[in-house]
Amino acid sequence: MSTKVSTISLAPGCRPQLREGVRLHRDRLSGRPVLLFPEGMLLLNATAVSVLRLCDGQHRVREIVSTLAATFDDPHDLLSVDFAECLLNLWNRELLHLLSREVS
Amino acid sequence: MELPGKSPQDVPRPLGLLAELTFRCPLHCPYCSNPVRYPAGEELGTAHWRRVLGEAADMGVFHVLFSGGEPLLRPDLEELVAAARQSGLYVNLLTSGVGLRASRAEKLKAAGLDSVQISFQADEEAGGDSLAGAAAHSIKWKAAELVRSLHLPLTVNVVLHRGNIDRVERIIELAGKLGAHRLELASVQFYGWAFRNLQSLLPSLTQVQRAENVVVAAHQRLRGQMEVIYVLPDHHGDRPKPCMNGWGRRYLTVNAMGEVLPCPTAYEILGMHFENVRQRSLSWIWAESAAFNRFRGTAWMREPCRSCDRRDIDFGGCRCQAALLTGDATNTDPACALAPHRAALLPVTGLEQFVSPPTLIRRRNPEPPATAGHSLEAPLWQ
Repeated sequence: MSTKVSTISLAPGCRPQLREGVRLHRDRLSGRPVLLFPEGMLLLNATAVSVLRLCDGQHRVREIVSTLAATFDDPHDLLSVDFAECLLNLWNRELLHLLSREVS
Repeated sequence: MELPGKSPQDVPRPLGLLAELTFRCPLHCPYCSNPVRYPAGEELGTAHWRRVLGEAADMGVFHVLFSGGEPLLRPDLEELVAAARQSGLYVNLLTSGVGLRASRAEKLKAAGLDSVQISFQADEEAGGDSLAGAAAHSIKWKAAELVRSLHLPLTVNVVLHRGNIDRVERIIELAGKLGAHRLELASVQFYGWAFRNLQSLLPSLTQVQRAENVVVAAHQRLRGQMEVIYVLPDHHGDRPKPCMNGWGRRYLTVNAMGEVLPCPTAYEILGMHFENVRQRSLSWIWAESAAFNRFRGTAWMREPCRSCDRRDIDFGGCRCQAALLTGDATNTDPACALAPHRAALLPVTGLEQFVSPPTLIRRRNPEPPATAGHSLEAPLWQ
Protein backbone atom coordinates (compact mmCIF):
# COMPACT_ATOMS: atom_id res chain seq x y z
CA MET A 1 0.00 0.00 0.00
CA SER A 2 1.45 3.32 -0.97
CA THR A 3 1.08 6.03 1.59
CA LYS A 4 0.94 9.69 0.86
CA VAL A 5 4.51 10.07 2.03
CA SER A 6 5.97 7.97 -0.74
CA THR A 7 3.90 9.57 -3.48
CA ILE A 8 4.58 13.19 -2.57
CA SER A 9 7.40 14.82 -4.44
CA LEU A 10 8.70 18.30 -4.48
CA ALA A 11 7.67 19.57 -7.90
CA PRO A 12 9.99 22.35 -9.14
CA GLY A 13 6.94 24.49 -9.88
CA CYS A 14 5.24 24.27 -6.48
CA ARG A 15 5.33 27.13 -4.03
CA PRO A 16 6.10 26.27 -0.39
CA GLN A 17 4.49 28.36 2.31
CA LEU A 18 4.73 28.19 6.09
CA ARG A 19 1.34 27.34 7.55
CA GLU A 20 -0.75 29.71 9.63
CA GLY A 21 0.66 30.04 13.12
CA VAL A 22 4.20 28.99 12.11
CA ARG A 23 6.68 31.80 12.55
CA LEU A 24 10.38 32.54 12.67
CA HIS A 25 11.68 33.89 15.95
CA ARG A 26 15.04 34.82 17.42
CA ASP A 27 15.86 33.30 20.81
CA ARG A 28 16.49 36.24 23.12
CA LEU A 29 19.01 34.27 25.23
CA SER A 30 21.21 32.70 22.56
CA GLY A 31 20.34 34.83 19.55
CA ARG A 32 19.70 31.62 17.59
CA PRO A 33 16.85 31.38 15.12
CA VAL A 34 13.94 29.13 16.04
CA LEU A 35 10.71 28.15 14.36
CA LEU A 36 7.68 28.49 16.62
CA PHE A 37 4.33 26.81 15.98
CA PRO A 38 1.33 25.69 18.07
CA GLU A 39 2.72 24.17 21.27
CA GLY A 40 6.07 23.34 19.65
CA MET A 41 9.40 24.65 18.35
CA LEU A 42 12.46 23.73 16.26
CA LEU A 43 15.98 25.12 16.49
CA LEU A 44 17.16 26.31 13.09
CA ASN A 45 20.54 26.79 11.47
CA ALA A 46 21.36 29.74 9.21
CA THR A 47 20.70 27.76 6.03
CA ALA A 48 17.25 26.73 7.21
CA VAL A 49 16.42 30.37 7.94
CA SER A 50 17.45 31.37 4.39
CA VAL A 51 15.20 28.61 3.02
CA LEU A 52 12.22 29.43 5.20
CA ARG A 53 12.37 33.14 4.47
CA LEU A 54 11.67 32.24 0.85
CA CYS A 55 8.77 29.91 1.74
CA ASP A 56 6.21 32.66 1.40
CA GLY A 57 3.82 31.03 -1.07
CA GLN A 58 5.17 33.27 -3.84
CA HIS A 59 8.54 31.70 -4.76
CA ARG A 60 8.62 28.42 -6.65
CA VAL A 61 10.91 25.59 -5.60
CA ARG A 62 13.14 26.06 -8.65
CA GLU A 63 13.52 29.77 -7.90
CA ILE A 64 14.38 29.13 -4.27
CA VAL A 65 17.02 26.57 -5.22
CA SER A 66 18.61 29.00 -7.69
CA THR A 67 18.63 31.80 -5.14
CA LEU A 68 20.21 29.59 -2.51
CA ALA A 69 22.76 28.14 -4.91
CA ALA A 70 23.89 31.67 -5.73
CA THR A 71 23.94 32.71 -2.06
CA PHE A 72 25.90 29.74 -0.73
CA ASP A 73 27.95 28.94 -3.82
CA ASP A 74 26.95 25.28 -3.48
CA PRO A 75 26.64 22.67 -6.23
CA HIS A 76 23.09 23.04 -7.51
CA ASP A 77 22.14 19.34 -7.51
CA LEU A 78 23.42 18.61 -4.03
CA LEU A 79 21.62 21.64 -2.64
CA SER A 80 18.41 20.51 -4.37
CA VAL A 81 18.47 17.21 -2.52
CA ASP A 82 19.15 18.78 0.91
CA PHE A 83 16.54 21.38 0.27
CA ALA A 84 13.88 18.85 -0.76
CA GLU A 85 14.60 16.81 2.34
CA CYS A 86 14.29 19.85 4.57
CA LEU A 87 10.97 20.93 3.05
CA LEU A 88 9.43 17.46 2.99
CA ASN A 89 10.41 17.09 6.62
CA LEU A 90 8.53 20.29 7.46
CA TRP A 91 5.59 19.18 5.30
CA ASN A 92 5.49 15.87 7.18
CA ARG A 93 5.22 17.80 10.42
CA GLU A 94 2.33 19.86 9.06
CA LEU A 95 4.36 23.07 9.23
CA LEU A 96 4.39 23.79 5.51
CA HIS A 97 1.92 23.94 2.63
CA LEU A 98 3.09 22.97 -0.85
CA LEU A 99 0.93 25.07 -3.15
CA SER A 100 0.78 23.49 -6.58
CA ARG A 101 -1.66 25.70 -8.47
CA GLU A 102 -0.29 28.37 -10.74
CA VAL A 103 -0.25 31.93 -9.44
CA SER A 104 -3.09 33.70 -11.16
CA MET B 1 25.18 18.13 50.34
CA GLU B 2 23.94 20.16 47.46
CA LEU B 3 20.46 19.65 46.13
CA PRO B 4 20.36 18.26 42.62
CA GLY B 5 20.17 21.05 40.09
CA LYS B 6 20.83 23.67 42.75
CA SER B 7 23.97 25.23 41.28
CA PRO B 8 23.21 27.78 38.56
CA GLN B 9 24.96 25.81 35.81
CA ASP B 10 22.76 22.81 36.58
CA VAL B 11 19.47 24.68 36.43
CA PRO B 12 17.88 23.85 33.10
CA ARG B 13 16.10 26.37 30.94
CA PRO B 14 12.29 26.35 30.95
CA LEU B 15 10.61 26.26 27.54
CA GLY B 16 6.92 26.44 28.34
CA LEU B 17 4.70 28.19 30.87
CA LEU B 18 1.20 26.91 31.61
CA ALA B 19 -0.79 29.87 32.94
CA GLU B 20 -3.95 28.64 34.68
CA LEU B 21 -5.64 32.04 34.77
CA THR B 22 -8.73 30.90 36.69
CA PHE B 23 -10.22 27.74 38.14
CA ARG B 24 -13.74 28.87 37.19
CA CYS B 25 -15.27 27.00 34.25
CA PRO B 26 -18.69 26.61 32.62
CA LEU B 27 -18.01 22.88 32.12
CA HIS B 28 -18.03 20.15 34.74
CA CYS B 29 -15.94 17.38 33.18
CA PRO B 30 -15.31 14.43 35.50
CA TYR B 31 -11.63 14.27 34.44
CA CYS B 32 -10.79 17.94 34.94
CA SER B 33 -7.10 18.52 35.70
CA ASN B 34 -7.87 21.31 38.19
CA PRO B 35 -7.27 20.55 41.87
CA VAL B 36 -9.96 18.64 43.74
CA ARG B 37 -9.26 20.94 46.67
CA TYR B 38 -8.66 24.46 45.49
CA PRO B 39 -5.88 26.44 47.14
CA ALA B 40 -7.06 29.28 49.34
CA GLY B 41 -6.89 32.88 48.29
CA GLU B 42 -7.87 35.17 45.47
CA GLU B 43 -7.11 34.93 41.78
CA LEU B 44 -3.92 36.61 40.70
CA GLY B 45 -4.53 40.09 39.26
CA THR B 46 -3.50 41.58 35.93
CA ALA B 47 -0.37 43.33 37.21
CA HIS B 48 1.03 40.13 38.74
CA TRP B 49 0.34 38.17 35.57
CA ARG B 50 2.03 40.81 33.43
CA ARG B 51 5.11 40.59 35.63
CA VAL B 52 5.09 36.77 35.47
CA LEU B 53 4.88 36.79 31.66
CA GLY B 54 7.81 39.20 31.36
CA GLU B 55 9.89 37.14 33.79
CA ALA B 56 9.10 33.94 31.89
CA ALA B 57 10.27 35.48 28.61
CA ASP B 58 13.48 36.70 30.33
CA MET B 59 14.13 33.14 31.57
CA GLY B 60 14.02 31.84 28.01
CA VAL B 61 10.46 30.49 27.89
CA PHE B 62 9.16 30.30 24.29
CA HIS B 63 5.54 29.31 24.79
CA VAL B 64 2.80 30.49 27.09
CA LEU B 65 -0.37 28.39 27.29
CA PHE B 66 -3.28 30.40 28.69
CA SER B 67 -5.54 27.86 30.30
CA GLY B 68 -7.81 27.41 33.31
CA GLY B 69 -10.61 26.63 34.15
CA GLU B 70 -11.86 28.73 31.31
CA PRO B 71 -9.42 31.55 30.50
CA LEU B 72 -12.09 33.48 28.56
CA LEU B 73 -13.73 34.22 31.93
CA ARG B 74 -10.87 36.64 32.61
CA PRO B 75 -11.84 40.07 31.27
CA ASP B 76 -8.13 40.96 31.10
CA LEU B 77 -7.27 38.08 28.72
CA GLU B 78 -6.71 40.42 25.76
CA GLU B 79 -4.33 42.51 27.85
CA LEU B 80 -2.40 39.42 28.97
CA VAL B 81 -2.20 38.10 25.40
CA ALA B 82 -0.79 41.43 24.27
CA ALA B 83 1.71 41.53 27.14
CA ALA B 84 2.87 37.99 26.39
CA ARG B 85 3.29 38.62 22.68
CA GLN B 86 5.15 41.88 23.31
CA SER B 87 7.55 39.96 25.55
CA GLY B 88 8.29 37.69 22.61
CA LEU B 89 6.27 34.66 23.71
CA TYR B 90 4.29 32.41 21.37
CA VAL B 91 0.74 32.68 22.69
CA ASN B 92 -1.49 29.59 22.83
CA LEU B 93 -5.05 29.73 24.16
CA LEU B 94 -6.51 26.52 25.63
CA THR B 95 -10.26 26.96 25.88
CA SER B 96 -13.59 25.17 26.06
CA GLY B 97 -14.72 27.60 23.35
CA VAL B 98 -17.59 28.76 25.56
CA GLY B 99 -17.58 32.55 25.53
CA LEU B 100 -15.56 32.93 22.34
CA ARG B 101 -17.76 35.27 20.33
CA ALA B 102 -16.67 37.03 17.13
CA SER B 103 -15.81 40.38 18.72
CA ARG B 104 -13.75 38.73 21.47
CA ALA B 105 -11.92 36.45 19.04
CA GLU B 106 -11.04 39.40 16.80
CA LYS B 107 -9.71 41.37 19.77
CA LEU B 108 -7.61 38.42 20.90
CA LYS B 109 -6.18 37.99 17.43
CA ALA B 110 -5.37 41.69 17.20
CA ALA B 111 -3.64 41.44 20.59
CA GLY B 112 -1.27 38.83 19.16
CA LEU B 113 -2.85 35.44 19.85
CA ASP B 114 -0.92 32.79 17.87
CA SER B 115 -2.98 29.60 18.20
CA VAL B 116 -6.13 28.20 19.77
CA GLN B 117 -6.85 24.79 21.25
CA ILE B 118 -10.51 23.88 21.77
CA SER B 119 -11.51 20.89 23.85
CA PHE B 120 -14.31 18.60 22.68
CA GLN B 121 -15.78 15.90 24.88
CA ALA B 122 -17.23 13.79 22.04
CA ASP B 123 -17.87 13.81 18.30
CA GLU B 124 -21.58 14.60 18.74
CA GLU B 125 -23.80 16.82 20.81
CA ALA B 126 -25.61 14.43 23.13
CA GLY B 127 -22.47 12.61 24.27
CA GLY B 128 -20.46 15.81 24.54
CA ASP B 129 -23.04 17.74 26.53
CA SER B 130 -23.69 14.82 28.84
CA LEU B 131 -20.00 14.43 29.66
CA ALA B 132 -19.38 18.17 30.08
CA GLY B 133 -22.48 18.60 32.21
CA ALA B 134 -23.38 21.62 30.08
CA ALA B 135 -24.94 22.39 26.69
CA ALA B 136 -21.58 23.22 25.17
CA HIS B 137 -20.98 21.07 22.09
CA SER B 138 -22.72 23.29 19.51
CA ILE B 139 -21.08 26.37 21.07
CA LYS B 140 -17.67 24.72 20.70
CA TRP B 141 -18.42 23.94 17.08
CA LYS B 142 -19.20 27.62 16.37
CA ALA B 143 -16.10 28.74 18.27
CA ALA B 144 -13.92 26.40 16.19
CA GLU B 145 -15.42 27.77 12.95
CA LEU B 146 -14.76 31.28 14.20
CA VAL B 147 -11.11 30.46 14.93
CA ARG B 148 -10.61 29.08 11.42
CA SER B 149 -12.41 32.03 9.81
CA LEU B 150 -9.85 34.31 11.48
CA HIS B 151 -7.02 32.14 10.03
CA LEU B 152 -5.75 31.14 13.45
CA PRO B 153 -4.37 27.59 13.66
CA LEU B 154 -6.78 25.28 15.49
CA THR B 155 -5.94 22.33 17.72
CA VAL B 156 -8.82 20.07 18.71
CA ASN B 157 -8.22 18.30 22.01
CA VAL B 158 -10.28 15.29 23.06
CA VAL B 159 -9.71 13.33 26.24
CA LEU B 160 -10.26 9.66 25.43
CA HIS B 161 -11.93 7.46 28.02
CA ARG B 162 -14.09 4.39 28.28
CA GLY B 163 -17.21 6.23 27.11
CA ASN B 164 -15.87 7.80 23.89
CA ILE B 165 -12.79 5.82 22.83
CA ASP B 166 -14.81 3.49 20.56
CA ARG B 167 -15.86 6.54 18.54
CA VAL B 168 -12.32 7.71 17.83
CA GLU B 169 -12.78 7.42 14.05
CA ARG B 170 -15.71 9.86 14.25
CA ILE B 171 -13.73 12.15 16.52
CA ILE B 172 -11.00 12.28 13.86
CA GLU B 173 -13.69 13.12 11.27
CA LEU B 174 -14.98 15.92 13.49
CA ALA B 175 -11.51 17.49 13.70
CA GLY B 176 -11.18 17.20 9.91
CA LYS B 177 -14.54 18.90 9.32
CA LEU B 178 -13.53 21.74 11.60
CA GLY B 179 -10.32 22.31 9.63
CA ALA B 180 -8.08 21.57 12.63
CA HIS B 181 -4.32 21.71 12.08
CA ARG B 182 -3.75 19.37 14.99
CA LEU B 183 -5.79 16.79 16.83
CA GLU B 184 -4.68 15.79 20.31
CA LEU B 185 -6.19 12.52 21.44
CA ALA B 186 -5.22 12.39 25.08
CA SER B 187 -5.90 9.24 27.04
CA VAL B 188 -7.41 10.22 30.34
CA GLN B 189 -4.73 10.52 33.03
CA PHE B 190 -5.74 9.34 36.44
CA TYR B 191 -5.07 12.17 38.85
CA GLY B 192 -7.41 14.53 40.64
CA TRP B 193 -10.99 14.28 39.43
CA ALA B 194 -10.24 11.45 36.97
CA PHE B 195 -8.73 9.31 39.73
CA ARG B 196 -11.95 9.68 41.65
CA ASN B 197 -13.86 8.51 38.56
CA LEU B 198 -11.40 5.81 37.55
CA GLN B 199 -13.88 2.94 37.32
CA SER B 200 -16.14 4.94 35.03
CA LEU B 201 -13.41 6.31 32.78
CA LEU B 202 -10.77 3.60 32.38
CA PRO B 203 -10.98 1.93 28.95
CA SER B 204 -10.39 -1.80 28.60
CA LEU B 205 -7.24 -3.12 26.96
CA THR B 206 -9.30 -4.23 23.94
CA GLN B 207 -10.71 -0.72 23.54
CA VAL B 208 -7.24 0.83 23.73
CA GLN B 209 -5.79 -1.53 21.11
CA ARG B 210 -8.70 -0.96 18.70
CA ALA B 211 -8.33 2.80 19.05
CA GLU B 212 -4.59 2.62 18.53
CA ASN B 213 -5.04 0.91 15.14
CA VAL B 214 -7.51 3.57 14.01
CA VAL B 215 -5.23 6.39 15.15
CA VAL B 216 -2.09 4.97 13.51
CA ALA B 217 -3.94 4.62 10.19
CA ALA B 218 -5.29 8.18 10.45
CA HIS B 219 -1.86 9.52 11.33
CA GLN B 220 -0.51 8.14 8.02
CA ARG B 221 -3.55 9.07 5.95
CA LEU B 222 -3.67 12.69 7.14
CA ARG B 223 0.03 13.46 6.93
CA GLY B 224 0.61 16.97 5.59
CA GLN B 225 -2.95 18.00 6.46
CA MET B 226 -3.61 17.39 10.12
CA GLU B 227 -1.19 16.29 12.80
CA VAL B 228 -2.74 13.50 14.87
CA ILE B 229 -1.16 13.19 18.29
CA TYR B 230 -2.07 10.22 20.45
CA VAL B 231 -1.17 10.30 24.11
CA LEU B 232 -1.17 6.64 25.10
CA PRO B 233 -2.60 5.49 28.39
CA ASP B 234 0.38 4.48 30.50
CA HIS B 235 -1.52 1.83 32.42
CA HIS B 236 -1.25 -0.65 29.57
CA GLY B 237 2.46 -0.25 28.78
CA ASP B 238 5.76 -1.51 30.23
CA ARG B 239 7.60 1.76 30.54
CA PRO B 240 6.45 4.98 32.17
CA LYS B 241 5.97 8.23 30.30
CA PRO B 242 8.76 10.84 30.59
CA CYS B 243 6.44 12.97 32.68
CA MET B 244 6.82 16.71 31.91
CA ASN B 245 10.12 15.72 30.25
CA GLY B 246 11.59 15.70 33.72
CA TRP B 247 10.66 17.54 36.92
CA GLY B 248 11.64 21.22 36.81
CA ARG B 249 13.40 20.68 33.49
CA ARG B 250 11.26 22.14 30.67
CA TYR B 251 7.91 23.36 32.00
CA LEU B 252 6.34 25.27 34.82
CA THR B 253 2.77 26.03 35.82
CA VAL B 254 1.48 29.14 37.53
CA ASN B 255 -2.01 28.50 38.85
CA ALA B 256 -4.92 30.88 39.37
CA MET B 257 -3.84 31.79 42.90
CA GLY B 258 -0.22 32.42 41.90
CA GLU B 259 1.35 29.18 43.12
CA VAL B 260 4.14 27.84 40.91
CA LEU B 261 4.14 24.09 40.26
CA PRO B 262 6.55 21.83 38.33
CA CYS B 263 3.48 20.06 36.92
CA PRO B 264 -0.21 21.09 36.98
CA THR B 265 -1.13 18.07 39.12
CA ALA B 266 1.82 18.26 41.54
CA TYR B 267 -0.63 19.26 44.27
CA GLU B 268 -1.41 15.50 44.42
CA ILE B 269 1.90 14.98 46.24
CA LEU B 270 1.13 15.56 49.89
CA GLY B 271 3.48 17.67 51.97
CA MET B 272 4.80 19.78 49.10
CA HIS B 273 4.91 23.53 49.54
CA PHE B 274 4.57 25.64 46.42
CA GLU B 275 5.95 29.16 46.39
CA ASN B 276 3.73 32.01 45.21
CA VAL B 277 4.64 34.68 42.64
CA ARG B 278 3.17 37.28 45.00
CA GLN B 279 6.17 36.69 47.30
CA ARG B 280 8.97 35.52 45.00
CA SER B 281 10.23 36.04 41.47
CA LEU B 282 9.48 33.33 38.95
CA SER B 283 13.19 32.77 38.25
CA TRP B 284 13.97 32.31 41.97
CA ILE B 285 11.15 29.79 42.32
CA TRP B 286 12.35 27.90 39.23
CA ALA B 287 16.01 27.78 40.25
CA GLU B 288 15.97 27.79 44.05
CA SER B 289 12.66 26.61 45.52
CA ALA B 290 12.49 23.31 47.36
CA ALA B 291 9.54 22.13 45.25
CA PHE B 292 11.37 22.55 41.94
CA ASN B 293 14.56 20.94 43.23
CA ARG B 294 12.83 18.05 44.99
CA PHE B 295 12.82 15.72 41.94
CA ARG B 296 15.08 17.61 39.57
CA GLY B 297 17.83 15.58 37.89
CA THR B 298 18.49 11.99 38.98
CA ALA B 299 20.16 12.24 42.42
CA TRP B 300 16.82 11.87 44.27
CA MET B 301 16.15 8.50 42.65
CA ARG B 302 15.99 5.14 44.38
CA GLU B 303 16.70 1.81 42.79
CA PRO B 304 15.80 0.52 40.27
CA CYS B 305 15.70 4.03 38.70
CA ARG B 306 19.05 5.18 40.08
CA SER B 307 21.11 2.70 38.05
CA CYS B 308 18.67 2.33 35.15
CA ASP B 309 19.97 3.21 31.69
CA ARG B 310 16.63 4.89 30.97
CA ARG B 311 16.82 7.30 33.93
CA ASP B 312 17.62 10.24 31.65
CA ILE B 313 14.91 9.18 29.18
CA ASP B 314 11.83 8.69 31.35
CA PHE B 315 13.09 10.33 34.59
CA GLY B 316 11.51 7.55 36.64
CA GLY B 317 8.06 8.30 35.25
CA CYS B 318 5.44 10.38 36.98
CA ARG B 319 5.96 11.59 40.58
CA CYS B 320 2.26 12.29 41.05
CA GLN B 321 1.30 8.77 39.98
CA ALA B 322 3.96 7.26 42.26
CA ALA B 323 2.59 9.32 45.15
CA LEU B 324 -1.03 8.54 44.38
CA LEU B 325 -0.62 4.78 43.92
CA THR B 326 2.24 3.91 46.31
CA GLY B 327 1.95 6.67 48.90
CA ASP B 328 5.54 7.82 48.27
CA ALA B 329 6.53 10.16 45.43
CA THR B 330 10.16 8.92 45.44
CA ASN B 331 9.14 5.43 44.35
CA THR B 332 9.45 4.30 40.74
CA ASP B 333 6.23 5.02 38.85
CA PRO B 334 4.20 1.75 38.96
CA ALA B 335 3.62 2.22 35.20
CA CYS B 336 7.17 0.83 34.82
CA ALA B 337 7.42 -2.97 34.60
CA LEU B 338 10.57 -2.79 36.78
CA ALA B 339 8.82 -0.93 39.59
CA PRO B 340 8.83 -2.71 42.96
CA HIS B 341 5.30 -1.33 43.45
CA ARG B 342 4.08 -2.57 40.08
CA ALA B 343 1.21 -4.35 41.83
CA ALA B 344 -0.18 -0.95 42.84
CA LEU B 345 -1.25 -0.59 39.22
CA LEU B 346 -3.31 -3.80 39.26
CA PRO B 347 -6.56 -2.30 40.48
CA VAL B 348 -6.26 0.08 37.55
CA THR B 349 -5.30 -2.37 34.80
CA GLY B 350 -7.21 -5.45 35.93
CA LEU B 351 -10.57 -4.11 34.92
CA GLU B 352 -11.21 -5.87 31.63
CA GLN B 353 -14.77 -6.60 32.67
CA PHE B 354 -16.71 -3.79 34.23
CA VAL B 355 -19.45 -3.92 36.73
CA SER B 356 -21.88 -1.02 36.48
CA PRO B 357 -19.75 2.07 37.02
CA PRO B 358 -20.53 4.45 39.84
CA THR B 359 -22.08 7.83 39.17
CA LEU B 360 -19.62 10.39 37.83
CA ILE B 361 -18.25 12.88 40.31
CA ARG B 362 -18.24 16.23 38.56
CA ARG B 363 -15.65 18.93 39.04
CA ARG B 364 -16.99 21.94 40.90
CA ASN B 365 -16.11 25.59 40.69
CA PRO B 366 -14.29 27.34 43.49
CA GLU B 367 -16.47 29.32 45.87
CA PRO B 368 -15.83 33.04 46.01
CA PRO B 369 -13.07 33.41 48.59
CA ALA B 370 -14.95 34.45 51.71
CA THR B 371 -12.37 33.44 54.29
CA ALA B 372 -8.74 32.91 53.52
CA GLY B 373 -6.51 30.37 55.19
CA HIS B 374 -8.33 27.10 54.66
CA SER B 375 -9.32 24.88 51.78
CA LEU B 376 -12.45 25.81 49.87
CA GLU B 377 -13.46 22.26 49.05
CA ALA B 378 -14.11 19.31 51.29
CA PRO B 379 -12.18 16.13 50.50
CA LEU B 380 -14.25 13.85 48.28
CA TRP B 381 -12.08 10.78 48.22
CA GLN B 382 -11.78 8.75 51.38
